[in-house]
Amino acid sequence: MRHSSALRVQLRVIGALILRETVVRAGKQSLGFLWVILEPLAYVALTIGIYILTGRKTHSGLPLIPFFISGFMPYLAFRNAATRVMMAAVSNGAIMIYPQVKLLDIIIARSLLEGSISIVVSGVLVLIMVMFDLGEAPNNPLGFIMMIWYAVFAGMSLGATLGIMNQYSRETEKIFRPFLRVTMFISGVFFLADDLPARLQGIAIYNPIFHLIQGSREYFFHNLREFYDPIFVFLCALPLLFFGLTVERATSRRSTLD
Amino acid sequence: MVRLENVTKKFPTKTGYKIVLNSVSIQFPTDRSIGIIGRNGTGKSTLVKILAGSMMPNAGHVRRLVRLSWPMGFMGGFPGSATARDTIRFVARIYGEDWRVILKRVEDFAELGEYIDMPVSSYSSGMRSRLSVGLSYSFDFDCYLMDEILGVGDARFRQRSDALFQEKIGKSHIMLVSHSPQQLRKYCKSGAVLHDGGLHYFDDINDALKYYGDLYSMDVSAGDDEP
Repeated sequence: MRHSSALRVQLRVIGALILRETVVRAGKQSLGFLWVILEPLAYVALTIGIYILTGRKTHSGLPLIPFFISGFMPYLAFRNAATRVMMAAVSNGAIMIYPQVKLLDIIIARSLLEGSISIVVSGVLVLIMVMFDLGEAPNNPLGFIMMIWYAVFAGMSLGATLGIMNQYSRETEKIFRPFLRVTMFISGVFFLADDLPARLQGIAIYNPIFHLIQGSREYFFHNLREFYDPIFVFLCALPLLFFGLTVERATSRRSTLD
Repeated sequence: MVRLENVTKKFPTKTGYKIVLNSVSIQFPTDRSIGIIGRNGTGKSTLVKILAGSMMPNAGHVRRLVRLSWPMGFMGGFPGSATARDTIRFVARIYGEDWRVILKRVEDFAELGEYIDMPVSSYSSGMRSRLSVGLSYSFDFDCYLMDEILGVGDARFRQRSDALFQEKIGKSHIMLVSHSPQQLRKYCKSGAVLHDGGLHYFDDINDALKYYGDLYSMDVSAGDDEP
């Protein structure tokens, strides 16, 4: 066997993990891969369906389909990254016996996978939308893609901290899943910053997820007021990431004997 | 050569710390097979994990100048929900080997047939052993770390793993954790006894067994011991 540098080994491990995680994420049913696309599609389509059936319009008058694609996709990228990273240690105990496999590698692999999935699914949805003339393509697609990755980064950071807490108490997972669901309603998936009265905007500005979704909208449409503050998201995510990774290092492998 | 330098490993328990390794400094030669002996609960599995690099010590360093396998144990390394094929591919990839080559070697040795595409959780203990031993022998490690894995399995399996092991004699050795003096004498030339946070090395496995026996006032002259 050849001798490889530590970096090469780590890249190899992350690559192998991505391939493995792709299978794991799809699940056991034979159409698991299909569900990966169907889940976000369901969120967008069902919401739009309800709006149409009840005759609702968006508060700002923006068209429904691009509005909800640009709202759900970064939110789901964030939520899925946070959840998958939080659970990274739980089902992977067996493969961490191989000395090259570290928890951070699993976290990175899962984050890269979630980001790629979100971008591909977004691309599929936008393609369908444009092909059937249901809406305009995003104004700044590259910016939109960047927002997806930023959402994944934020999710990964939160997931790292939650994952550590989960190691100490398995209840963490049960508490945070519904909490994450609630954030869907208060983080601008269903409204724009400008749809809120000024007082609520002053509160919403402290929600980093709100910034992520608002930012996504600013890249998707044009002429939206600039509300999104990338620095703020970074300042929220970085301490969480730092905390999660540091505590993991300090307490790694605190397994009990035999 | 594998060396522990002032390695300490302890685990928090409800009544304070359990110290498995207390600033242990020891050098293991890897030109021979070594047995690791100790009572249940002293931390032999932990020691093996630290040697492999799966687990980090609380203090100290581990220096390895040879290629060690991962800790081969009964349940280890195979997530139950994944198929053998998936895990074999994964392990081949992390070691930088062509998974088709590794897969063929495992198929030839383990003789799992169509079970290779079933989740490992559905395997019998014999099948797991064949898979585990087969996979690690498919790589060219200098030293195989075996945590009580040679004892399980039927006669045919033991015969075949012995044969495979014979092929590697001269190139590879094992570090074998076992409770069976028979097994230890058969496979190992030297031995180390883990006791009370300390690790004592003996060039002759019989000396190691005698030391262990004296520690616990047991007769280790023959057969399996059940402490």
